[in-house]
Amino acid sequence: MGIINKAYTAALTNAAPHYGMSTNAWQLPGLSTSVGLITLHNPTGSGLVMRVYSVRWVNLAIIAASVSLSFFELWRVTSPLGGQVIPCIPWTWDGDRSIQRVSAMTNAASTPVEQFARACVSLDEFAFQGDDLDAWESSPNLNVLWDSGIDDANVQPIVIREGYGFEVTHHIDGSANPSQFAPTFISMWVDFTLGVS
Amino acid sequence: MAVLQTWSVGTNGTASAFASNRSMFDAWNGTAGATVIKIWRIWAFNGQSSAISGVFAQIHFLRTVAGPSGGTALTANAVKHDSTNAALDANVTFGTDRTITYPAAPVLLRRMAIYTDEYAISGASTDEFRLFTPGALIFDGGYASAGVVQPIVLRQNQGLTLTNVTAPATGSIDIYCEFTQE
Repeated sequence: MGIINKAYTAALTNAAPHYGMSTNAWQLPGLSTSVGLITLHNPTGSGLVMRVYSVRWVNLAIIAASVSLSFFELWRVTSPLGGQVIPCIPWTWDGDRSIQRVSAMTNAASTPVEQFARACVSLDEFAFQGDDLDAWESSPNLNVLWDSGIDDANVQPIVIREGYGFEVTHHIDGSANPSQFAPTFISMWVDFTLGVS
Repeated sequence: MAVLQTWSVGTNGTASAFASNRSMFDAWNGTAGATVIKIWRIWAFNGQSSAISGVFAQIHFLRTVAGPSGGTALTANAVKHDSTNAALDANVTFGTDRTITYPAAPVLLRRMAIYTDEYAISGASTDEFRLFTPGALIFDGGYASAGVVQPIVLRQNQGLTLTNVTAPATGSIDIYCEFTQE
């Protein structure tokens, strides 16, 4: 790719809570669909190219939740608006300020452009010594949604050019959606780089 | 090797229903020139959310030798990883439930069995394990090999199908494929 790009993690883990319910987890809101769990935006004029290498999440529902199966979808988007800003943590603290030219947020409203993939998830609580789907989702290694390009120099990551964004969208499938979808907790990480080419 | 122009294509939630001798997913390179398609990774997520009586489905990875017909096209779901990539060649197509032409002597790359039962919110079986991206990964040719091992290479008038050869058949899968064009 020509240059060594600087790496960042946009993490919900330390984000300001969406509903003020927690200081170390993001609360997935109640009955709703097409919620932007995490959105990265590379605005026009940034002069930067954003590359998304890895998306992971973990189930943080350690208290009882009343939810159903739903989907996390990976989208290229445009024009994200609103939501709450979440921090992008540099892996190397060298004073670089390029991160200030892009943004990351949760619960933003975006315009979907094209879908890369999706995965079905259980947002139910997991139990101490649990051995089911809910419990397995506490493993970041098992819960990787995307890692394109991480291990193979031949394959592109998801490249976000100026004017576009990348979003993990929570989507509730009608056939799998119950009449109730109570708030529950997750944490999510997106690892990406910023470069000038 | 340089980074290759990469796409992702999938059923995007319109899960492909199992049926006997159905091509659950296929890729076809019908280009007239030297365009080469390389299949790097394929995922088959469990797409069955409503209760059924699951069965074992045997999936065969087979070469194809003529353009597929009928079925449901998925080519419009092909997404560039980088918006500056060249356009996908118009003769490269993807689909599900398309009619496939095999070579006279079938070329079986690999085969696997999938249990087609529905997944449950707090289940703990193979049905649920195939909801995880690593658990759904059914092909990753060449990955992490630094270019030593080839992916599945589709040259002119070559294709690949993932065909369910088992009857009876129930359930559905949600398939995604990562490929490059050069």
